[in-house]
Amino acid sequence: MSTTERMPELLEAYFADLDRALTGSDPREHAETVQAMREHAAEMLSLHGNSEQTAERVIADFGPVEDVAAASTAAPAVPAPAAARSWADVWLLAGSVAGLVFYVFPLLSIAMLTWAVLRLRQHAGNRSLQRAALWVSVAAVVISVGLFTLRLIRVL
Amino acid sequence: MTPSRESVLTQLRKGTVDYCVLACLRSGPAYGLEIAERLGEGKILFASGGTLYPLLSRLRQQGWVTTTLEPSPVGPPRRYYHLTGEGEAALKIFTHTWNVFAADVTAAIKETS
Repeated sequence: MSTTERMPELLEAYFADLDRALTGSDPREHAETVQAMREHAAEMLSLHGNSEQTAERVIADFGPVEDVAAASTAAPAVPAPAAARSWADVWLLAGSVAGLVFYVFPLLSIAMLTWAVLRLRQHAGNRSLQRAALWVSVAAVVISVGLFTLRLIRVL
Repeated sequence: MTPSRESVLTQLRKGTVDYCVLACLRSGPAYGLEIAERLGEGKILFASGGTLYPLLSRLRQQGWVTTTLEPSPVGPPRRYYHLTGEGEAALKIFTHTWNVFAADVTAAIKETS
């Protein structure tokens, strides 16, 4: 009996369970473990007869698939992808800072504030930069509006 | 909380069973079923026979054993595991360290029992 020939149903079911139990294990170790255990089973079936009784004996020798899985190495964790730098958000923040510095030109601050709100609503890009731009723009608009109001009061 | 015999064995197996497999190969190459039969008696070194195989894969990936497929007189080709030079060196260090460790553990247990 070779490892590619179909084994008794009991063993095939065991190997299907084993394959599932080894999900999350190191992939190479997973493949080699299943292959080596199939070879062990094939040898036993050749020695003691290709029967359900031999299959039961092999499964008893192997033990629960959970034990085999517990003895295997976990697959290495995939690191989370680094947050992509969005150049649009970098320009947004730069524009907001410029709006704050040149608060006498409120149109710039209002434009940056609008852009920041739109970027945040898109749920894309660098959220930290977007929030920073939002608050800087709000500060710039408040200062501009405040100055404009004061000037208006003096004129009136 | 009193540990069970099995839980104590689980802890003891970690770090030692790998070297027991290497020691099994010191006298010559062996195939999986053969290693399982030699080391599996009494269910001391291995609670379940299947746990040998992830270990063999790790030993191969570490470079401490290599494998070859040889024709078998009774069935499909057999995968033989061979101890490498690196595996032999690792086993030598373990054996020396184990002898000292086991002696100290035995002495400590004798003194306190």
